[in-house]
Amino acid sequence: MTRLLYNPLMLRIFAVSILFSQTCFAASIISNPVPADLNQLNQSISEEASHASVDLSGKGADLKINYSSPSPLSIYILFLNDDGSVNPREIVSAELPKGTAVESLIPLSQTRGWSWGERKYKLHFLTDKGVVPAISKVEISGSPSLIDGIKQFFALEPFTPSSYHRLSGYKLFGISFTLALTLILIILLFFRRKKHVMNVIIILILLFNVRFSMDLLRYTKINLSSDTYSTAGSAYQIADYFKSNEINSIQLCSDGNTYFPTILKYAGYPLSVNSEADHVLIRNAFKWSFENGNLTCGDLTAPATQISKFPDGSILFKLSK
Amino acid sequence: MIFALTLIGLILEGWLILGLIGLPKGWLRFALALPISALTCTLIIFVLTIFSISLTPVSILGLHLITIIILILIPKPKTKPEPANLKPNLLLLLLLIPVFVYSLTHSTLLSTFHYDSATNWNMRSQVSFYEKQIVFDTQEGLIKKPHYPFLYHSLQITTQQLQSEWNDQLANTIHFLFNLSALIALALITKSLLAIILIVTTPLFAMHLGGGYADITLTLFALLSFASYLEFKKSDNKMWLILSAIFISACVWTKSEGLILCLIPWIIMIGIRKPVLIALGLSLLWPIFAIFKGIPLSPHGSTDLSIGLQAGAFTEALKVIFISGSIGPILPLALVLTIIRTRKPKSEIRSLLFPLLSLILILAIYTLTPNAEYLLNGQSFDRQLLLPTSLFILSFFLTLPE
Repeated sequence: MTRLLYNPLMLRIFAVSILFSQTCFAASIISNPVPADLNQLNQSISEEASHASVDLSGKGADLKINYSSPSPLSIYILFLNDDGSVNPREIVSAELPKGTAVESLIPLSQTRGWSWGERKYKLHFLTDKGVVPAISKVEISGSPSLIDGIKQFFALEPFTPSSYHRLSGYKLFGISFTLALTLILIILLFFRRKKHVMNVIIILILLFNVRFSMDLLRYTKINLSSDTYSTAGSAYQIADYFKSNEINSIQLCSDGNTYFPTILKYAGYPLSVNSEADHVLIRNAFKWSFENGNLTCGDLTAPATQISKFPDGSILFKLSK
Repeated sequence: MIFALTLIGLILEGWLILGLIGLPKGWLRFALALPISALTCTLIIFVLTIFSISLTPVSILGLHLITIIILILIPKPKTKPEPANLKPNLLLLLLLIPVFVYSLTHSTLLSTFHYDSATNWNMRSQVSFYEKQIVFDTQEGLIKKPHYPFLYHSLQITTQQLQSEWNDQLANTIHFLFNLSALIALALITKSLLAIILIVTTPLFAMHLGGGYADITLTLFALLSFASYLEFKKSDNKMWLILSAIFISACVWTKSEGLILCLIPWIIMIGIRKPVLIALGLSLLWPIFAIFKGIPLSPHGSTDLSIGLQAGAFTEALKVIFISGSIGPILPLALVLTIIRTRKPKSEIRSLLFPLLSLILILAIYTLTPNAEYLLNGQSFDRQLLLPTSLFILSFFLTLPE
């Protein structure tokens, strides 16, 4: 026994098994959450027939769900503030496989929104049309593993139009990294050997800044390698198409968010967006259809021809006169 | 090609003006040339606006050409060339690479992305370019802040002349080059690469180096003014105080906030000295013009002036300073250091006045006036904090004992 304990290999296995203890023992299926946005959720709700939502509160690092479903389930998790509001940058989703009496675990503590203490959540379950899944248990429990804490720290600060106004910052094991580092630095300030202390403080601040610089590089890679440009989607390609085809006015049927039309008007200046135009751009519209040459979107129902489709999924139609 | 020629012309103009002020030939004069000519672009467009002359290549570039010819003809004070006295540290420079790559690609390869740029900054420049005049109305809702001063727009409009169409990439590229020049100049004036790196890598500052807003332009002018003032204190060379006055007036021409958050704290810091008249002379042209034109001077209109404690604002301000990721731990740390330093001799405290007053004014504006709305909805408070944060960093690095 003594030999076993002092064997470095055994020690390593023992340490790793503690680190990954949740993965090994806590649940049969682990579904890692990924960042999602409200638009995605609304789109899914409008497209998928089976949808249910539930408010949940609890203290813990993992969301445990026991269910049976003949089709895969999508779950959207919204972290609610005390006043019931939601930070749209912290929405996550996870995919749960189909199965009978499945016990699944979603490690919330690796997401940007998770923090210690009692939290309120809103969960949206979505699945295929006509499917009624049976959910027997939904609960929050457990504490974060070392890996989850590190994953939370390295979760990407979202690149959105509002990023220029405020950055949410990073969390480490559910605690604000800015706050933790600030307190450490202020305590360090009162140490006696000032010169060395100042060096340590500067290095720590630089490390804080370097953490964000890493995300800048990640944005750069994503934005340069993608066909679309983050939330702006294909706005500039669409505007170029309008210019080269002398389209000066359009109708826009979308989710009502003002960001896209604003960018489109800048990119396509002096483009006019009004309800009289012959061209209709459909983008992120919740409910629309094009069947038998008839376009329906919002208040509009008219015969139309599809002219072009853009990388972000926007479709341009020309109304038939 | 046309853009490059205009850029060379602007650098030449700035170079000649700096020579007239007495700055020796060298890299610093080269780096400061574009920030200086950004102000001349503004003043030239201001003159054309007053006389209702269309903003065309002939009027804009013609006036710049005349300015350059006059500047060449005016005899300049003789100065000895000064070698750049900055030893670059390779490790520190490595820290800048991610921010540089992000800034370069997002300004020159990618398009305008952020909301306020498409409703104000680049949009107002674009509309003014096509209308051949600086627009002071909303243009049917396209422009949200048509009452702002127009330095940011002037630089873009000037460098777009002779282009048949508005070029979004060039509009952002000129501000990328402006930012780069100003930062190199700051490093050369302060000789503290570490201070500049701490400023540049501050998360929200780094983010804004992607282009499209004027908060960085305002902060860089304020930093250039502050660094020039600190250099004056060190060398007792009045040329630095004149430069400080010129750069602080550029703040007033950049954003409405420049008047309150830059000019007033700067005057209080400087005290009664002759260069204050230069700053006032160059700055006050804007508010006088605005008053005559009936344009509000404050960013959000008359409601900015009603004073009263705003519910939830103070707590939110503390959250932003201590918890959010916009600024990081450097601002709270600067505040603690300030408290420690107030026990030091008077001369050191004076240089803290600029950052401290701008911070106090920002806190007052966002917790005691209806501007609290823009703190609570997370819109402009964090961006405003870039100004005092950067000034604090510079202040500590340039005035702390070795």
